[in-house]
Amino acid sequence: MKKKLLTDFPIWESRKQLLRIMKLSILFSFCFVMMVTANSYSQATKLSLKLSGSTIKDVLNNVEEKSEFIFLYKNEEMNDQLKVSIDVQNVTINEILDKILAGQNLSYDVYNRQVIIRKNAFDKQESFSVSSQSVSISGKVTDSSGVPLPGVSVVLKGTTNGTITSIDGSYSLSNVPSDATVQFSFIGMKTQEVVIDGKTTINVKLEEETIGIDEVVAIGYGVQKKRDVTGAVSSVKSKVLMATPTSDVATAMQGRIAGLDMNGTTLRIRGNRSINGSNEPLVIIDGVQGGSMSDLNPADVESIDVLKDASSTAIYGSQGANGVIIITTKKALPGKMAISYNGYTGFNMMEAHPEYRSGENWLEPQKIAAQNAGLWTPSSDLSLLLGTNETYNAYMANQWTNYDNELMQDAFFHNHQISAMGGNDKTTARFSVGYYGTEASFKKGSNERFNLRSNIDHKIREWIHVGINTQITYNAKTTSPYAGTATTGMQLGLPYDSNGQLVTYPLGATGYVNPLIDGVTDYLYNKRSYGTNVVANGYIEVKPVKELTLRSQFNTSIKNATSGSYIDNESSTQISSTKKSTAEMKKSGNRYVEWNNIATYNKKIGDHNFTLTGITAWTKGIYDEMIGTSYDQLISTNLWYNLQSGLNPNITSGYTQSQTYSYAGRLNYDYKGKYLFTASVRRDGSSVLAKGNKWASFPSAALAWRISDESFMKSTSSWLDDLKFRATYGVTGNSGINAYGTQSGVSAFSTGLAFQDAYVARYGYNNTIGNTDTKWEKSATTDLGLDMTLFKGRVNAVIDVYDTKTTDILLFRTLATSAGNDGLFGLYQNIGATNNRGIEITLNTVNVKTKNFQWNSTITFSSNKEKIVSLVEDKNIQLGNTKETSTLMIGRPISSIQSFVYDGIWKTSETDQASALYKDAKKANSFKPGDIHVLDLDGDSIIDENKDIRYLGSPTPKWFAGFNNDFVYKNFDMSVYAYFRWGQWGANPAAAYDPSTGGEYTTFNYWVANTNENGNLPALYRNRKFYEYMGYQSLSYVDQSYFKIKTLTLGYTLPTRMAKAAKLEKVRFYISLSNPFYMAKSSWMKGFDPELINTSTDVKSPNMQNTSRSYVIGLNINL
Amino acid sequence: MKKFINKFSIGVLLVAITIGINSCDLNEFNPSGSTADVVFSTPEGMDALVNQMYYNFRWKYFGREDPVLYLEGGTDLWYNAGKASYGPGLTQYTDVLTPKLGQLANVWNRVYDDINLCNSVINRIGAVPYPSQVKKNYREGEARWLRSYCYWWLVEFFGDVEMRLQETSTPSFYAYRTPAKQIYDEVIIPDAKLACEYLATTPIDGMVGRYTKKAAYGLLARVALTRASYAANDTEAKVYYQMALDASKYVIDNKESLGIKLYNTYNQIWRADNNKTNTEYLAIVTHSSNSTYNAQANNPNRDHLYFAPKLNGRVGITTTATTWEYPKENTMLMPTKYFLQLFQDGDARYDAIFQEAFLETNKFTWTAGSGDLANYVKNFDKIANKTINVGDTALYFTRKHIPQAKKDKASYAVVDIDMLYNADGKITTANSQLYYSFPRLQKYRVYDPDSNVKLLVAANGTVGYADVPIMRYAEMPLIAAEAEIGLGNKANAAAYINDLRKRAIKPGYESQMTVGANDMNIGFILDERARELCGEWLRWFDLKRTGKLVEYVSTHNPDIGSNVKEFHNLRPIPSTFLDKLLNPVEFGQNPGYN
Repeated sequence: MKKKLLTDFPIWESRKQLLRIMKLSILFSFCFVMMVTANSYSQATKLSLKLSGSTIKDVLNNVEEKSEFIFLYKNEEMNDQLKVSIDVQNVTINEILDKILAGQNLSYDVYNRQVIIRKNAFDKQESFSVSSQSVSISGKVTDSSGVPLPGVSVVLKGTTNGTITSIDGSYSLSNVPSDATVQFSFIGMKTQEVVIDGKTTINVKLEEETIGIDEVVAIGYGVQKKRDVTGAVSSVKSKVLMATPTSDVATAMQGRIAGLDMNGTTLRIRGNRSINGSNEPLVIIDGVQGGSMSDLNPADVESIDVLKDASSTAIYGSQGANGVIIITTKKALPGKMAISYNGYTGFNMMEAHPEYRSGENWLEPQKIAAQNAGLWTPSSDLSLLLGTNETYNAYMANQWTNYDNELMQDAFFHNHQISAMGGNDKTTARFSVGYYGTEASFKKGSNERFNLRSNIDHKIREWIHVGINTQITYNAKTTSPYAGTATTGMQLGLPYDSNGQLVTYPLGATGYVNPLIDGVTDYLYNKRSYGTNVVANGYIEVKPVKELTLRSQFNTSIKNATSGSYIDNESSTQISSTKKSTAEMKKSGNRYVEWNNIATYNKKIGDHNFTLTGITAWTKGIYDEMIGTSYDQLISTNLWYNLQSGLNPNITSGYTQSQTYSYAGRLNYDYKGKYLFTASVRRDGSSVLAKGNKWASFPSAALAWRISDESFMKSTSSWLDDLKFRATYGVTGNSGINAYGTQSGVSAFSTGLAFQDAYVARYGYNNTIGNTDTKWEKSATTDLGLDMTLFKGRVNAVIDVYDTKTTDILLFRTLATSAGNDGLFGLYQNIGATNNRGIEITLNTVNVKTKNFQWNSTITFSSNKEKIVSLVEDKNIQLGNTKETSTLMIGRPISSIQSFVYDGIWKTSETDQASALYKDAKKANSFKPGDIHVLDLDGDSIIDENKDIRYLGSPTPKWFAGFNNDFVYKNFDMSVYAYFRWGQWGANPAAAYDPSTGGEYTTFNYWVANTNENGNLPALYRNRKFYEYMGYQSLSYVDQSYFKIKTLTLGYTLPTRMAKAAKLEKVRFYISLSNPFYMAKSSWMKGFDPELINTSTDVKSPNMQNTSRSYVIGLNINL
Repeated sequence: MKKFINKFSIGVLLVAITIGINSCDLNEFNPSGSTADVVFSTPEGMDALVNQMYYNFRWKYFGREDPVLYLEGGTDLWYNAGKASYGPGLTQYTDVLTPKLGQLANVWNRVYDDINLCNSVINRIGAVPYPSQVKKNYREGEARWLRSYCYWWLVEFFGDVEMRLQETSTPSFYAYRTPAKQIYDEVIIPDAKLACEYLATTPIDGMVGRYTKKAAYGLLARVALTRASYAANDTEAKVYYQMALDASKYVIDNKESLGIKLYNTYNQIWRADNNKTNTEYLAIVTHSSNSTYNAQANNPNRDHLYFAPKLNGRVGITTTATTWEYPKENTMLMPTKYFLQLFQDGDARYDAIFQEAFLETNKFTWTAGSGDLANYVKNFDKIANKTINVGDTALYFTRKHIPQAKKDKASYAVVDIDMLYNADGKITTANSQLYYSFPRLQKYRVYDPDSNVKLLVAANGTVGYADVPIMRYAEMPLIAAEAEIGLGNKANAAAYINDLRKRAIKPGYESQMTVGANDMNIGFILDERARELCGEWLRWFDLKRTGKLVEYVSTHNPDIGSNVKEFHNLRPIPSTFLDKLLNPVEFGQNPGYN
């Protein structure tokens, strides 16, 4: 009989009147104990006590501390300040209670660990008001399977009169009005109301609360019961976030929320809408902006609610277009102190790349490349092929080095978090400290994060509450000295000489620089950054009258970041080029303030429930920075702390500020919880827009219909627990431009120009030409949704379809390059419209549920079709210089890839077909075997960069899905989490092919006449770069669809008895494995982690890092 | 009731505060920014804008690799060092010479960038309250000079281009071509003439590197000569030949007043100790010994590397030697056989501008197992165990023919013209060492062993801060001679040439080196310009102006000869420009390019 422990407050509100006299703390502990109760505890436990002149309260507290007993009583029924003395050895709880309660006309019931003390029945009746038509009722309360429920509160509705059921679930109440309504409530169960209507026996079966239905979700400037929500809102709770070890909140969310796509560190809700503006969702932490998700320790998070449709996000107006992620941190509950520890440690293991070539395998392509280029013949000396003596000698001596092994490591990481919480009915507080440290995959690199958080809430009076949330995060990062050089593709040559000393040039002065030299001392390549982020927000909440709540919330965040970089003239990057040392120190700061005022008026008239919310919000953000640099300082150990000792110390500084002001109103209305309606409007002003266009309004409306509550649905109630239909519409916005984006600016430069040694100042144009016509970008979204719960909560499904039209899209549009400014002049312009349509499905199922075994699954599926609907003058616009990846194409997603179409490599047997196809308009150069075969799409026998390219795909996936399975068998738990990301295009690992050297990797299958006609990469030519091959772009992009098992976690929870023996509440150990399995659709991706390849910000160049696979062991302890 | 009032008053207070913040303003506060109208209406701001015009030439052109590739590469004089294929579209006319080629967009973008700055100066300067008209004129003259120079470059490279005469302040997504001739007549020549009028003979503020009157007349001569090649008929051509002659003659005749003084010996021009005070340079791009004063703080001038053979690590050249003297990378162009043979034996200019012997820096002893032996085709029996001491010749790369016996006897490595080139003039493919072994163009040397002057930003660095000449006195008699040929006065032309050559004749070769009227033709002028102005960023323009690009490259540069076509007289319009236009088809690509 495991009951759900609800951590949210509101369920308690209704019962507070009865129980306010009880210590809430005791109740909570009681509930908790109920969860772990297994057998009779009271008789087995023997206690010894020696107290004299103590109050009864002290004695009970003493017992509570020494044992697991918990006492429940009403202050007014028992005088707990009465002084008693007791001295007993090895007695049961009954004996102690008998002694200390003697003479108080009290009786007690011991239900295993919980002890209820109350007045004797006769006296109790006196406390009820006498009614002319009073009756006595009695009965039994059970759960749905018929098991008696002790401790259920039985209250006459609208009064404080009531009782609690005994161990067999029975209760009796006398002297109650015959027309009264009795309320039965118990944590984790649906509250039931029964009208007495003359009955004297009322047996009640309480139903377990179905998952999620009475959860509370954050809806922006307020909370709402999940069942009353009209918009598309998805939530993740702490338990899910903590199920697998992750150091950041975003990663913990991946695949858990339908419609939320995560690629690398990029989050997108329902695709991209904006070209220039941010597509990042708005993140609200504890009601305010300005915090960073990456600063949060996942263990501090209570819940994350993601608002997806515009009716939900319209309350955030201009910032709501990309969805809103609302994070609520954990708060303490009144009651017993609770301490918990969560920690894990593990290794990030580098998994094998496709191997680098070595030995004969390396030489062969060298020969072919040189031969094809006419620079070598097999009859020539090998030394001529290899260029230098050193190379030749190293090859002959078979000196190969795997630089990956030399530079990279299995990175150790560990994460620890301790939290403590507690409080009384006036003040509650939760504190947590956390540490996360990891080594980088390149040796000598590391990352650390410390965080400290305190959430304190205090009731000054019943009607006035205050609170403060504070978070301090310190980040420190040391960049690996090897990160600058990365690995070298060349594996020939030894990094150390015979004395074990590093050599600078393993293959002589004309060869590569030894990538290991930067790590010799800390003063060759040193880059560090650290920063402290402080977020503090406080609120005051006043309830002048019952229905009205006024809340004023002030938030401030301060970020200070320092970074330093010192690159010595002897470092690998400098030694072969300019031989100058450079030192730089940068200090930057963000200051952000936000002030929200929220008035909420809630009124119930009969079955009509209204909530009116009025909001004002003001934000201001300031960024400033100062950067100092100098060159060639004398002492390298000064790093960047003595810039004045170098040549030409130089300083630059900058400042950016923007502010917004907004006001908004919202009406939530429901009739019997069956017909729900929400409407809101927000008016937003932003400083970054041009005068006259600064303000805009964002309206929304939503309707929801709880079909399952209709009388005609009675017949389905045996299997359909809940069915709600939602229809919403809303408009949100995006200011879409940077601060000062509507100003034409010029900048002064203090360096870079002199006439010989006579310095002169210069003033040049900034990139932006002010366009004072820029307006808000607006997104209008229609969303239809269906929420259902079936089979007593075993199946829960949420389905949404949506259609978002974004108009007046802002684009920073670069002018034709003849306009000047080195081809970078541009201006912000509202240039077109996009459309996003999609479907999202979340399915939670309890597949198996037996006494010892449970299997739950969660599936999230999201499909989004994004396209540009219109552009000014109905013409495609090319943004950057790479036509393939930076063209806005009407009818295609914002980010799209167009290129030649690859059709293999021309074979020798296809010489005739190849030579009928030309590389130039003049038909002077034709294709030859070994060239890339790209399709001649227009059939004119000329491969043309404009006519023979076509749309291939978009980096935005067609669909993505998360599939999580949780298994619990007795004390073991296991979860397997799989992720699909499908239909997205991106960089092909083959883009790293270097035909001039034969390629770095053994997997690169280059074409060789007659001997390897099936090669899928073009013929090798020494000195010819890949980009010099006609049609190379066709090999640069690939379908990156993949399937991945992200994590596999196996946990074991110590049996309660053993935990107790160690004086612990709960102990869980687990092991977890990330990236155990992955599979890419395209064979080009073989040997590479498709998710990692994908995270390259540049679609043109694949992220060729080694795959990491982490092995983690973790521990959760609750004290 | 009292409690209610308390509650109520706090509520009212909150509401009042809420309404109070309504007054927050949404104006942008931008203390670190400024606008063009504010800054460029003051003399100080206008000075700063004029200064900015000089920035691009230091940042990305002269001293950097791009101009080496597209102004010297792809001509009859040079081929890629080491038979490499760096920048092959520009140096070899391979099929990567497409509209996508980045170096061409760099020219287009940055030259138009300068044009926009010039336009801004020219449009705005009238309203700027300069205290002195002389200074105001000088500033306008600088802008006129540069706009003329930039359009000359643009038109020569790309043909008919967009003519923009106004500072950019509005969106532009459409562009239209203006015929090259019209751009000459409306901008290039008038601006050059105004520059002649406005610029003073000495740099204002004493800043060496600003354009002066001699640069203006030099530019007028250059652009007028080029304009003549666009003439529809002889009569029209003669107008511009005369203009070119007048301008170049003005410089020749007024050397003293223009601040020009010729060195007595030819090699003086190229000595590092004369670089910063050179009296023969008409226009220069300066670099500074102070790295932050350079547009490329760590990389101001690398011209001394680009024409050098790879020396570092070769026979006894120590691998830790300073790479500016004996570079191992950034070597870019090697001379063609034709070019090396253009110099007569009596021409002192070859010895002044080419280095053939390279000295030992690290005592070296030939051994039997040395791979170098095979590379330099040395006979083991004769050379083994011979030692080269520091300061002795280690490498000798020469345009001469050296008999094999003599080569084998030398303790140093010898690569002569027969080893470096095949009989047909192509560069050898015999081994990878040889095609890095060529005489070095040393016009841009940053070090004078005689005076021990080192123009290097860091003593052990690879980068220098020598000034780069972009116009030199010797061009004037060459222009005058070419103009006189165009005007039919060959005798006058010969006189200019003989005057130019005077100091470059080795004793005893006077008669061979003296030319007569009959020698005067375009072929001679091109040869003489090669001998005099090689590596000075003019060769590609010269071949194009004279209509000899295809003929000369295909005849004299056999490694790339088959690639060059008539359409290569124009560079492709950069696709980064066309791609952003809304009328790319109307603007159109230059013929021959996809």
